[in-house]
Amino acid sequence: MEHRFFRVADALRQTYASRQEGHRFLVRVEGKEVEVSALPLGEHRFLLRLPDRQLVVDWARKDKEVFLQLDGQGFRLKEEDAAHSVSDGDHGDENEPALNSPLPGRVVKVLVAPGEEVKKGQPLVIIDSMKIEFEFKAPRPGKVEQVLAVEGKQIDVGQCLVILKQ
Amino acid sequence: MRGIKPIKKVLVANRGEIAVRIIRTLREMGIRSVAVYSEADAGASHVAAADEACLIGPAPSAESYLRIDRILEAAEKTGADAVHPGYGFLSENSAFSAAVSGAGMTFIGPCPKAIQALGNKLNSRELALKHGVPVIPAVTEDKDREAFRKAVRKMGYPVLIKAAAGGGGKGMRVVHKDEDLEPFLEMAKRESQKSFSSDQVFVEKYLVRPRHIEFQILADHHGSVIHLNERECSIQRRHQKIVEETPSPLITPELREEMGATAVRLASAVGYVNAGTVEFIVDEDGHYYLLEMNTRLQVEHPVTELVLGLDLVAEQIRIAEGRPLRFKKSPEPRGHALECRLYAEDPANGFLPSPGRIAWLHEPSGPWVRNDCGVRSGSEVSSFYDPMISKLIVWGEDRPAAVARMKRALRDYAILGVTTNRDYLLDIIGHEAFAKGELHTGFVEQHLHGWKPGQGSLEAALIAAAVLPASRPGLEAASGGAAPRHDPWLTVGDWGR
Repeated sequence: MEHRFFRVADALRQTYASRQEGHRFLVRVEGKEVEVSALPLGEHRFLLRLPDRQLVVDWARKDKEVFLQLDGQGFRLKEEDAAHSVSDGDHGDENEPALNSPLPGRVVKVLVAPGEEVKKGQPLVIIDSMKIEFEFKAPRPGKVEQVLAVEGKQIDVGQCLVILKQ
Repeated sequence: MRGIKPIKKVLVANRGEIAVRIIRTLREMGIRSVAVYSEADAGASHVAAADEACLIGPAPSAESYLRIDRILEAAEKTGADAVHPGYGFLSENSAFSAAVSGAGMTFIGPCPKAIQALGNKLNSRELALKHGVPVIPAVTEDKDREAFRKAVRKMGYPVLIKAAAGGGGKGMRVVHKDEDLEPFLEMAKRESQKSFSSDQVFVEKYLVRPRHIEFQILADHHGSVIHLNERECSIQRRHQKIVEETPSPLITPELREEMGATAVRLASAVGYVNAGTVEFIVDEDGHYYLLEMNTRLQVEHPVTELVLGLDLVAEQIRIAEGRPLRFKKSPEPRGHALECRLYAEDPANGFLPSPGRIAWLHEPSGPWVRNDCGVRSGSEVSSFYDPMISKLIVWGEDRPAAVARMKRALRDYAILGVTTNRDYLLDIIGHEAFAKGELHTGFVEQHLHGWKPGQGSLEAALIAAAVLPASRPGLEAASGGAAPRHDPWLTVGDWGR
């Protein structure tokens, strides 16, 4: 399962993809889930099979920038670090203690307890979203003050999961 | 009358797509080619295309592609017997034409006298007036500022300030009211000084919704001058053409004959030899006025080639060898041809150039699709030179067929890694006013003002982004930016990856 953030024309978009067998993927974007396949056609091309049509996708990467062309349209996307995007992109201040969920789903497991010191990038909570599990990581080091995530409970985008003090 | 002197080896004093295009014709004619290049262009397509290549200096044009001495040195060293200047750079520099001839080589273009007579816009105006070629009413700058202002006012606003030595939109300003004349004049003079080393400007009547229509000329050393019909180049941004076509949707057979004869008359008047283009501006009522004559191959020459089925560079070479023209009048044109200029620039941001490395280039193909291109995957679009990437040219049996083919070819054309005007061109070609042939030089301001790239396929793009292979930071660093590029010989096992 892979969770990514892309900045397109100043708006932050999130995508999830989990690889099924072969070239098939389960993808979630803009609140919709689709099963697609991506057949490589060389280093910078692949054939994207959507449920209702297929498209040739040309793509290239330059550092964090992704260039895409499909269906006659060009796109320039900036890939952003997921943890960074959640605390910085979505919720303003990087030092904001409340860490909010970047996606809706169900809390599978809580990995930290109040009072615990955590390192940057340390997994805090595992969330299941559309049958895809993903680790919610600490965007910075700190001390866990409060854990609001409850195992087995449904959560919404932006719902506070952990309060992390500097 | 002069004898025929076959050309055996041509130095191409240019770079990019036009150098590649000229070298291709040379190879087809069995003539050897010499490329010249700056330090920035060592790995460029035109260098690889030629039989030999000579380094002529550092990246800035003034120290390389504009250095007559170094280019002549390269020609001597390689034993070239002719020089093709392409367009831009030294192509309309009479001193260059003279220096090439002076060194005993053939200049594939007009003689210095003709370049001089037509190169300066004020000179060519006088020449035109003398030979009954209509010109736009104009006022030349006067030391007596009050008299000058009066004359401009009498002609009537809006007016256009132009550099006498100019071209390419530099030093041009539209003035709508009296109080703007003075400040805009100063700006135009400064721009002209910087671009052309001359601050001589003049003011002419600005036509509303004018069309740019030009006639291709061929003239030999035996006194024959013919025209090869028109090209319409009304789709422009910042006074530079971006879409060109032939035949013009505006021109009737009668108007074609009249304007063509006028163009031939002007070329004949200066004893013009080789290929040239007489540019006219045509108003809404079909009145036409001389804009200027370009004494070189035009960027948009391929549209003429496609409808006539001939190679203008080959004709230029035959003329330069002293051969008579192969026809007494233009071959009958067939169908319709369109050209789009692809630029590394941002149409959503004032057409700002967007230099950088092209990470992936996929050229369109198929019947009657031609892409004159000077770059490839991995090429750097350098900020030292014009940011044009290529010219996409298509032919169709009529205009709607050519338009449909151009749309398809533009859709198939992937240039990734720099911002380009590809999507913008697609929106021009797809516009209903374009389909109707309602063209004028203000077309893009009227129909595409405030343009932003479309987001229609954003959802599909996000799905594609979601499944992209993860980035490999090590590889990116090796192939991006200023870092040395991936060298296959360092990792032989990786070759073909």
